[in-house]
Amino acid sequence: MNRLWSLLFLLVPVLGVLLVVGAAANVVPLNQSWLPEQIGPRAAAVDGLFNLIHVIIGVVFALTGLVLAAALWKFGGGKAPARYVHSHFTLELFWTVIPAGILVFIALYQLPIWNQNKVDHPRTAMTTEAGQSLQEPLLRVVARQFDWRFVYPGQDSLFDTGDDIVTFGEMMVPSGEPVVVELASEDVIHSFCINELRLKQDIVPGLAPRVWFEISRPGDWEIICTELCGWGHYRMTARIRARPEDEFDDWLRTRERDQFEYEADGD
Amino acid sequence: MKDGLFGIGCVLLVVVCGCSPEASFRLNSVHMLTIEKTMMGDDESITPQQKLELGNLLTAMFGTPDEPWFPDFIPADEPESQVVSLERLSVAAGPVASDRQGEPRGLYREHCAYCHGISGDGTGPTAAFLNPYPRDFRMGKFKFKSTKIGQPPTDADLKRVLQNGIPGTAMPSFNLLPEEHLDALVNYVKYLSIRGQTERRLIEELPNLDNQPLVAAKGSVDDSEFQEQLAIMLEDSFLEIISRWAKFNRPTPVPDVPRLFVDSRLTYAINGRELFYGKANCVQCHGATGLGDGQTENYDDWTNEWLKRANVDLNNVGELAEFVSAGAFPPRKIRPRNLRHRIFRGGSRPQDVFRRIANGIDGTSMPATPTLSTEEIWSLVAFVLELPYREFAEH
Repeated sequence: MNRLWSLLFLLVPVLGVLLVVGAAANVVPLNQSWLPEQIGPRAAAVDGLFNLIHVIIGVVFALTGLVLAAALWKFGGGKAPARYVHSHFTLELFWTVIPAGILVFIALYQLPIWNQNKVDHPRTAMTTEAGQSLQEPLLRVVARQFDWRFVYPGQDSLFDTGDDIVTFGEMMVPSGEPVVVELASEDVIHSFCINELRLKQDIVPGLAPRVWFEISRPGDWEIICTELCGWGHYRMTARIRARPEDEFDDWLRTRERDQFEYEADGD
Repeated sequence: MKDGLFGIGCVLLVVVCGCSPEASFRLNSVHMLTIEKTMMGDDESITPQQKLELGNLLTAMFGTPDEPWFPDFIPADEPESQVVSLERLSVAAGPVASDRQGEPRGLYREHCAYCHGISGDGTGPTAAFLNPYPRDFRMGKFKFKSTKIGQPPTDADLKRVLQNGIPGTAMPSFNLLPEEHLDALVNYVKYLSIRGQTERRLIEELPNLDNQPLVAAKGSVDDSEFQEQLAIMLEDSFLEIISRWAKFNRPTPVPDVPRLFVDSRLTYAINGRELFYGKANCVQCHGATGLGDGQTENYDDWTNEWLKRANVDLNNVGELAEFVSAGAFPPRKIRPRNLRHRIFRGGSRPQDVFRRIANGIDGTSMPATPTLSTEEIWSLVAFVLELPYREFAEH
């Protein structure tokens, strides 16, 4: 009777593996809702990392399940009484070294992708004595409880001057070129996330972290806050719109006119 | 122990069954208390019967939060009939849900009620934690608008606040909502305002009644008497309120930005600085450095409405507690804007700042400036817009 339980335990790794492999091979209709679309050149690398880790934990998960089921089969039914084992040096060595090895491998393997996303700040063609200069942020994203505001530096290319252009809930960027964005928070910790870009960055008040990305094609997507920031966290969303360069310029000029050049008849 | 279990059982029962009491509008208890204190004798008070009548009358005129109604006796070609649309009301009112086509219903409760409250009284569940407190719509008074002090805001004004939020306060931007949802919400805010204003009028009638019934109770033997008195109420207080909303649904004009203002803003700003310290006397409240540290002893009208009117002594804990238990929040002084923060609640476009200076800010100590010329107001606008970014010479 007790061996029935070991067979039930065996179902967990078997069914789990079948489901995942079946979905990946499109036999089970699940992979349409697997991951969101990719709209930037760096999204694929993040997904690659995600899939690699998924495979590793999948293998570990299946092996653990099999070993558990085998142990239940062998020792179930009360035939072999339980025995206390104090230590087993070789076994402990293996179960320490192998996971450590996997972690070190992942840590090293992901370095180029981390570098792309967090270190390798886009540079301009202009060179200075110190090398190529960093690309200036196109806009500043200001997060607060519970909305997003987007500040474009205006004609003088400087933030915090009188010609800054401010938009609410709607962020426009040119498509097909690298964009640098500076982040700021007015109150608590927020997190700037665009799923389709596989981009996420916490915003700690007082710091001005930068993110960079490139959106390959025009379209509209959603910006969400991914750090629980208060009771209205769920509604802290904004729209990101990517348009070809000339459309982007038109849009920015229109915003600028709306803000600064008032005509008595229109409102 | 048994009681505790029973309590938990009751809570679980409610959670499982999902039964919630039907939503209802709360009466304006703070205003009733103010009227009792100021217009009635020591031994007089508004009777429970009068409160019941008041509630009935308001329900007959405006319905309930789940089934709102708006008096529709005005002919469709009159501007007054355009102030509140019943169709839009039904989109914004009621519990959060969606209709058969998947269109949302109950927008007000989804987006607004947690701060502004079901009754639009600014006492939603989160309100006490916010500074400034959320707006109480029931006085029909709004700060950031294109009309003059004492006039209701335009639809475009209310919509702009929804779209942009109010920087420097807890009011967020609702810019992502579709246009028709924003229109429905604007419509509902106006509905709550007009309902609140009518309620205040009726409450102010109570002391003159000498304990006579406000109107014959609804459902009494003779319902026609109720209807008759309702009609009188409608034509009297309600029509006056709604005609103001219809009349002032147009922004005050802002003169063209002078070309010179765009080209040589700094020159304008330097002139504006002279006015700031001199003729316009902004310095009195906004302080010599523009930090908003001048006159800081004032309350806004929503607070003065009971605090000053009923002459509440803030050191008398009992007196204050009476108002607080009626639903008022502990009073907070308002601060003149710190002009160096580059945060302008009513918008930072030049025409927004122009209107703030020219029209004043309703409900606050910020006055209109009828004595300044257009050119002078533009100079002040330039100064205010440049102040956060520039160092002006010592005055």
